[in-house]
Amino acid sequence: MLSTVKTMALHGLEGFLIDVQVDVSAGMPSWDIVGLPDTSVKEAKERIRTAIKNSGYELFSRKIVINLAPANIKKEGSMYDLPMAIGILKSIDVIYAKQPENILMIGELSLNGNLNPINGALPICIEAKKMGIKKIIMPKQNVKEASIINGIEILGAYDLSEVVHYLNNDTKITTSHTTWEQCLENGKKYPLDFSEVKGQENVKRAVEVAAAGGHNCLLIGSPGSGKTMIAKRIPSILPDLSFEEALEITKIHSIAGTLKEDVPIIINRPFRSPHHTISATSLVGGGKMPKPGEISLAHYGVLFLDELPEFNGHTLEVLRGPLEDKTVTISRINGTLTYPCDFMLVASMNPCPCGYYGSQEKECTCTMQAITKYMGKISGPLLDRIDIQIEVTPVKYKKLENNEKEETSEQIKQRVNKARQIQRNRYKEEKIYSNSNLTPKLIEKYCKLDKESKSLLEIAFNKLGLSARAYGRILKVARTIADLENSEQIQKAHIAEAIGYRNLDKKYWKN
Amino acid sequence: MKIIQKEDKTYPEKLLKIKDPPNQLYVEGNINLLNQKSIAIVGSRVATDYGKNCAKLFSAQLSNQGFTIISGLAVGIDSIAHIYSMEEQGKTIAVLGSGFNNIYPEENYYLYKKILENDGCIITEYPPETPKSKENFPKRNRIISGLSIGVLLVEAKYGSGGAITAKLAIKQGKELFCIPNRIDEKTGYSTNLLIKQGANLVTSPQDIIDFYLENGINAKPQECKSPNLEQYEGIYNLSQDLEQYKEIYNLIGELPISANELAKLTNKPITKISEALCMLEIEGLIKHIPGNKYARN
Repeated sequence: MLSTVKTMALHGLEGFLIDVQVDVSAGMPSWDIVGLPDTSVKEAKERIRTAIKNSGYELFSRKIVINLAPANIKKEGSMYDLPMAIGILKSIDVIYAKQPENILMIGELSLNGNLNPINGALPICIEAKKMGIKKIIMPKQNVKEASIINGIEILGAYDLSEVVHYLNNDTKITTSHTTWEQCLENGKKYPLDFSEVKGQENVKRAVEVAAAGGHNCLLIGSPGSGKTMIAKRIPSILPDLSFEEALEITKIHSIAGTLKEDVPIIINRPFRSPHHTISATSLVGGGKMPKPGEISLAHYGVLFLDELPEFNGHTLEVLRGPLEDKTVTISRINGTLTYPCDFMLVASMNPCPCGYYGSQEKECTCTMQAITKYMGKISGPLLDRIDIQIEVTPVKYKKLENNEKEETSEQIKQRVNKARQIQRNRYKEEKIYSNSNLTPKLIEKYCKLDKESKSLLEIAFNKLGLSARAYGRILKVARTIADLENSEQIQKAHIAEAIGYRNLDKKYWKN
Repeated sequence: MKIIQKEDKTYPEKLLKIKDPPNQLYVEGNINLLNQKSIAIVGSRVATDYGKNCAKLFSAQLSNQGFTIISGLAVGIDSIAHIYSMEEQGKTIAVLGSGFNNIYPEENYYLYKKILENDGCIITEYPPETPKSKENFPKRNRIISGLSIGVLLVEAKYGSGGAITAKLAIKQGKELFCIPNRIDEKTGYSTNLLIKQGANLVTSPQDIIDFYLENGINAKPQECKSPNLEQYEGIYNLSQDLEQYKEIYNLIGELPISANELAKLTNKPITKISEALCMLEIEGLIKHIPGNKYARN
């Protein structure tokens, strides 16, 4: 007898409705799965057979044919276990009640019949809702992340027999729904706070400017100066996530399988800090069926590259495109996928190979050539995309000891939020959100300078030996500083402060 | 490129007087410079800010007074000596420790070109294909001191190239000038030691000029060009603003201080401090040094 169950295949963030057609008939006992299944789907046979048996149903020796339609889309993963098992049980009349059309099933089976969690439950629900599905049966462990979606019934089942009983109308499965407000209430606040950073006022200010304008920034300093400590706290001063943003982040993390079970939806901006041995593929994403890489996992958050010059040169260069486009398109033989990657790049590095150039504590042992070579590891085009470069110097022990009140992240965030709002209003028609996205043409339009500031900038260029590529960057950063002060016009003082954030461009570094 | 043999008329006389003059010289640029009154300025490749400033000052002033500056095209003091001599429209000679096709260090190739453009002179005793080698650099120092009438040692560690040049200068009977340094500064060891042993202690370029005037040597004074500072006049006058930064400027001394310390001392927000620092830096009153600190210029 033939039966059909609906399920879904995910290609990146895009979902395809799949019909699992099962035919069980008399004949030579055999079991075939067709419709471009990969190994993980084919292996399901043994899991399903044993799970059905251990759930108390009998599977007589029959000829079983399963077709995953449409047959031209590749299917991979273990989430087809449940729909296939249900299809078989329908065909052999274990499930006898008539089923509604718009019900979808996903889930992996373990040998004892229990359901195991799968990756990508949230995007599946979002896509399913778009396609008019009303009910989704999924492993209980995935319910939390999926329950944030409105207008679709999410049913979390514990094991196979529970699903069978439910479909036969013997029991009920409770649906659950979480609202955004509940998530915010129950979710943990970002655990780190800027009030823990003693001193470092100038760096904190630079980071505030970076956060307010979405500027990428580079922290330069000797070992132990607090670069990483500061970088880790940057997400805490970025503006709060909106529901849509949170959903998009969660979708990506759901596909990558990095969601924690108890967190229904990600409410904090992600902070990703891959080790410097990372390959280009794992940074931008890839694999046979391309998975999101670190840059996509850092979507709407911070990508922190510690010890920037230690990264493989090729690995860093692949960042150039995504930094501009805010999306990354990965092409593999099985398909071409596009993942969003709108992140703020924060990088840190030592000023020289030994780490102590310009340090007061220890003498630098590097030759000038070695320093030049070290600096040369970061290519011009990449530096071009980093608006703010600031040196971090270690804090004296005395300062660490004192109990002076430092500003909390919340206070800084308020200013950042205000500045962002100004930018959003200004760029309503330009399809950009922050000053960091200004193109040369838009810089001309929005970063107008009065005569005084213009000549100040000119003098600064000549006297401080700034490189030409610094020009646009200084204007963008000055625009953000002006926004932080709620000033319509960029003023002299703003330009002066912005110039201060171009440490690497200044001559002294090279001579 | 010209090759001068020891027997040639153009071979610099001063070199013939030293103990082991090179058999031939490979010369590029203005060959007449070799017989001018020249001062060698040598020193450490890893110089302190103090040393760099001294090198700038002495090189510029001595060039201004018509002395030709000789040095070794190395990084650090040598480069500064060449550069600031040319800034004052002076003439400079670089003595290489390798062949012309192997300029060392490579990053100073631009300087090599610049010296030739500015009518300077580059010489070496090695054929063009000779690679750099450790033994050749101390050897060329005898040419540096040999071509000069006096050697100014700016900063040198114990046993460094600069110290070798100084010793050679004494052996060749040249006048040795040393700039005193702090006693705990490693790069000041040799200069202080040489002063203790009787080298001339100099604290300003005028000391050297006076010394030679007393001995009847006067490098022909050149017409000095005034630095071109007025080009921005009329557009925007920085100094009018400087009054308001005075408080901050007064707190910055010789010893470097960070922006955070300044903020603490003045009780002003960090934004105001960074603005003031940038303005003062543009004006040239203070400088930003590695380690994110500021010091008076």
